[in-house]
Amino acid sequence: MLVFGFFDILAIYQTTNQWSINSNSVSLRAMLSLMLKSIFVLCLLVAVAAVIGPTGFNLDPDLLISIRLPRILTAVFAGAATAAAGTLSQSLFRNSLATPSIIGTEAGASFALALATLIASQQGTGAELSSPILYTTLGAGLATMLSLALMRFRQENLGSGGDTLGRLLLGGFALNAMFAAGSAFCLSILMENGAGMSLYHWLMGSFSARTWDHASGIMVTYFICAALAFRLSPALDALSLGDDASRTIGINVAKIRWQVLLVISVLIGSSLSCGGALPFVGLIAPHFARKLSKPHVKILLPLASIIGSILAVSADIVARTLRAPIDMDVGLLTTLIGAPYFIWLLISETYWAGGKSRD
Amino acid sequence: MIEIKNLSVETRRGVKILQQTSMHLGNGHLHVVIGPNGSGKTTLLKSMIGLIQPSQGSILCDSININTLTPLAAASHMSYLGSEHSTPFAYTVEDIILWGRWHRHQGYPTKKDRQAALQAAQSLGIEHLMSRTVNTLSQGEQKKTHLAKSLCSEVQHYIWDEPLAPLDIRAALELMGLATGLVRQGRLVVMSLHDISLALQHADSLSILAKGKITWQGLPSDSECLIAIQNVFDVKMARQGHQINISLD
Repeated sequence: MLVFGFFDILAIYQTTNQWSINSNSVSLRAMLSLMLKSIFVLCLLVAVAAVIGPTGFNLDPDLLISIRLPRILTAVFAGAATAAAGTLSQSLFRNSLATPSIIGTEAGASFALALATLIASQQGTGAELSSPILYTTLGAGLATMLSLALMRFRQENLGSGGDTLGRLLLGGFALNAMFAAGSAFCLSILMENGAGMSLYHWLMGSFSARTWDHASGIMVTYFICAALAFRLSPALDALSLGDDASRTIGINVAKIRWQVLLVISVLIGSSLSCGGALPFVGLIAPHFARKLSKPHVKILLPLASIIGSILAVSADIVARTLRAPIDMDVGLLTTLIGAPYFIWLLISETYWAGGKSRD
Repeated sequence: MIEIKNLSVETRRGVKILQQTSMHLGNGHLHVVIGPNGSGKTTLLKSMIGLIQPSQGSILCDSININTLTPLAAASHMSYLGSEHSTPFAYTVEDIILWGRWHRHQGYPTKKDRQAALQAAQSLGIEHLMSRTVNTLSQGEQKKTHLAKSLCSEVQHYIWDEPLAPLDIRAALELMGLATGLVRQGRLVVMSLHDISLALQHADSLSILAKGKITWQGLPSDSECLIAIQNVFDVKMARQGHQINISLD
């Protein structure tokens, strides 16, 4: 069934790929049917995830409700939140490569979590944090702000003049390296005290042992953030005109930017606090969605979210079954898929040709 | 009506880009700003719509200080066409044109907005491109899209920074005709141009900028106008009937 689901995604992709040449021939009905198909695939995957146990198929109702379902739902909404944040940051930075794992948002959130854990353990309150979402959101926000500032530094207008893509990637590289080093530092101290294992799995991304608290938390945050993002979506579309032009048509650019930054931070912060990092889901899902659909954030947001969920759930299934009964870290798997995809994007000529005329 | 009083603009490092500029532009008027590269034309136009904060002086639009207005309120008074025209994602020509009426629909265009967008596209001859992705179009077609965006805003003041740059000669003449049409409806159109003969032909009034200062202001038919242009651009000009010959020496 898993294989069937995978081929179904491929089939959808192939039948709809022609739209990417002229995305405007995509009618609303086609978009709706695409979304329904994606939801169908997601449901199939969820069903598969629900019956697969560490030792083959297993259908114990108690186990299902108390352990597996919260885990799957957490994966679904963490994937959706990461993908939605990716879509929003693409629009905010006016660049389709500007996604949370590349601009440093995820690394920043991880670092904030590691630092908070370290401080908590030094103060003797234990290595488990009571409300990790606070720290991850703060870290995500700070990192995104830094990245945005780096890209705009001494540049009047985002996306005009200068090598924006180069600045974005180099700035993201520096921030990622900095935060990764910081996290590793905190982790090494915690390891010496023998309290680092849970943080380690957190940083690597893992959905193991999630409870209904995690699942309901991320679900509520996702829907609130999605509603906010939906409200902001027309302005986000118009922001693609550039700072000056979007201001002169009547958009309060600074205000919109702050609001979007906040939504991205909460989305990444909450998905990280409940499932750990899902590197590259925020890149692949919106990229895929943009290939299939119109560029309007209103349509992209739900589509990218569903694709993000599909990715997260599939990664979780693989993580649980590949080396069963040992749980692998989901983040490792998404990186294994995501990083090559990113390299392929960078070397594919179409991207650069498009990127040049777009920048 | 736009009034500029003693406007000065400096960069953060204190380089003076505009110095003590004053203008009074009434409605029903096509005002053209000309000047050599780097004379401050774009800075002047950008300050007129509040994109650049002046270090001194003020800009009044219908006797309201433009820098006290919110972006939305400013957009319902003035429409601006700048030089940077690219969108990173695959938005259509219609999307872009509709954004010109943001101050009316704020992201949720009505049927009326779509009609106005279509009309603006028709007046520029790009209605057949409405559903095309804008970043697949030629430079001139992209410019026309952004001109249509400005046209459909239906505001009182239009400020266009080098609207003719990538247009072919017929499109340029048609655009000057559109501007004249707006002026006849009582609107104010301010534009910067590099084509001096088109400027002299169509402008109701002319400002000549050089090194951040207005060196001459007046009617294009004025006999001193040609002398002022010659001095600023350091070229020789001679009227031969309706023709103007321009040469280096």
